[in-house]
Amino acid sequence: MLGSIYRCWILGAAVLVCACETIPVEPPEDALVLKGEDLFFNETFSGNGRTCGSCHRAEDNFAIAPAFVATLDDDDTLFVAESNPALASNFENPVLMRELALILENQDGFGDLENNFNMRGVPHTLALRTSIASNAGPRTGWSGDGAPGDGTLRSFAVGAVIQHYPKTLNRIDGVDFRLPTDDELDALEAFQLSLGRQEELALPLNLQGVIASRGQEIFLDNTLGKCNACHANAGANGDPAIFGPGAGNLNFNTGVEALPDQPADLTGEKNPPDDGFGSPGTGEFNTPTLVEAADTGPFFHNNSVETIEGAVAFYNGDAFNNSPAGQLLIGATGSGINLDATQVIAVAAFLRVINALENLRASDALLETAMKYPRTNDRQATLILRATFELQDGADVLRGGGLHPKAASDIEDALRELDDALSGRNPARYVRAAREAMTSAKNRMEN
Amino acid sequence: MRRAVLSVITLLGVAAGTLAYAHPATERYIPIGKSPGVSNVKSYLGKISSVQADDSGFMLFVKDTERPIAITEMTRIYVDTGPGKTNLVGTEQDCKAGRVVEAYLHEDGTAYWIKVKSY
Repeated sequence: MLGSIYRCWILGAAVLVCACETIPVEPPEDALVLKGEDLFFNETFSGNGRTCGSCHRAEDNFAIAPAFVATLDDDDTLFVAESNPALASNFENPVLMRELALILENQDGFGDLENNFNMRGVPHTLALRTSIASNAGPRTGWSGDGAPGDGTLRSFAVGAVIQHYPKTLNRIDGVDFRLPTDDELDALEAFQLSLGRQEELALPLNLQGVIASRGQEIFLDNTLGKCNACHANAGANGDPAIFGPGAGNLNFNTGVEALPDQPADLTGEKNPPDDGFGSPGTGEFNTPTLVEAADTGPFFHNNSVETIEGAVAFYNGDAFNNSPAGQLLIGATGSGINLDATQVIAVAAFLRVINALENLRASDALLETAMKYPRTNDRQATLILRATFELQDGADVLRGGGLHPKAASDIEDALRELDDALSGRNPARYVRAAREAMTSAKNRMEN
Repeated sequence: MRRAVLSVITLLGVAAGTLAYAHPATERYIPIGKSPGVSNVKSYLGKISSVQADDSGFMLFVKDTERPIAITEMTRIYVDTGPGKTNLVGTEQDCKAGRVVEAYLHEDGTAYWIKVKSY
């Protein structure tokens, strides 16, 4: 259902790309971003039928989780390895894809496809503007080295086409795919940079809930939670007070690969260790942003932890505290991370609340843009629909943690208003009512 | 706290190096002259004029000048075997005089990757 709705959205976007030349004054959205959006969701690059949107689903926060995979039809391009005989071996693992939303990556090269691969989750593409820059260069993908060429986000699509789009494993340019042009790379980069947050939070926030407020204190406490050191302002960058100005996004070996009983291993499927950054790897992975975490699980590069509470609890365990990053933290501060259950829940509650606040912010921005279009333009409905994806996540994130039930109800009220707006009966009125409910929800969590 | 700062900065030093953030494996399938953000900007495209006897490098004739290219154990070498054919993982021996080569270098002059045209 979502898939078909979303296809309508894409169609609307495509129509707009064609139509925007006829808009006389200041189009509501940037033409390059819209072109990139069209490429992201529709361009197959003459390959096996996949697009960027095959894995980075707009309905699922530009990532893809096992629960979402389970909703897809068997002929979805995500499952191309199950229908294209040339891709039946060493291209994907259908069991791990369907059960855990894991994608096969040949991070260390394409010379031994049978044995040399990693199974990784799909990272979301939100807030990239704030999360991939570092003093040492851009860090893309899970291990910070996902892009060929100059390693930039702009170049990332070239590597993605080679890895995920080929008709056969010969991977011949002009035969199995075509590589993106410079103009297409520019547009894809612009679109990806437009997604999600464009700036960092400024913690502490004036949160209204006592549990999330305590979670924020623990998060920021460099003697207790110690989270802010690597996730400054709950983002993806190192704290400048510790790592120096402009350090930006950092790579660490936090020991995720050392976790016992990883879901992929429990399936019995072949799942080689992932050595992370470089080739041969250092075991390091880059730091993900946390504002967008609560609604983008499962967590870590291998989707090994399902819940945000579990992801926070990971830092209490042996895998982290015995890891190079854990040992560094112990050496620097005198102890590892040792939170009790109530504290784990409090930090997770904080992450849930800031995620819900971001859902509200993103929804509001989408609705504001939507209402710049005339009612007759399909793009209006497209953007309203996208706002509903965000709002639904916000409600789910709060309900999942038993947090702010009145705010969750407000968000659900807003969703009902937007359903009416999408039905075509005076959308402006319903969008206005939705935004009022969203403001109420926000004020219940933060002011 | 001072100890913490020093320790962390030490860790950062280990991971430093701009080139290392690019993914070299997929370069195998990117034709000579088409590496995004690198070709025509940062790499050297030319013909091998001479090869060192121990295969540790070669001289690359680029436009009007010769440039030494040093090969290390970490250098990725890929062989472009022609349109419509699979590119191969190569070795130092594929770097023969007269062949067209694109080389992307570290700041110290050693090659991060080399693509050799074999036809």
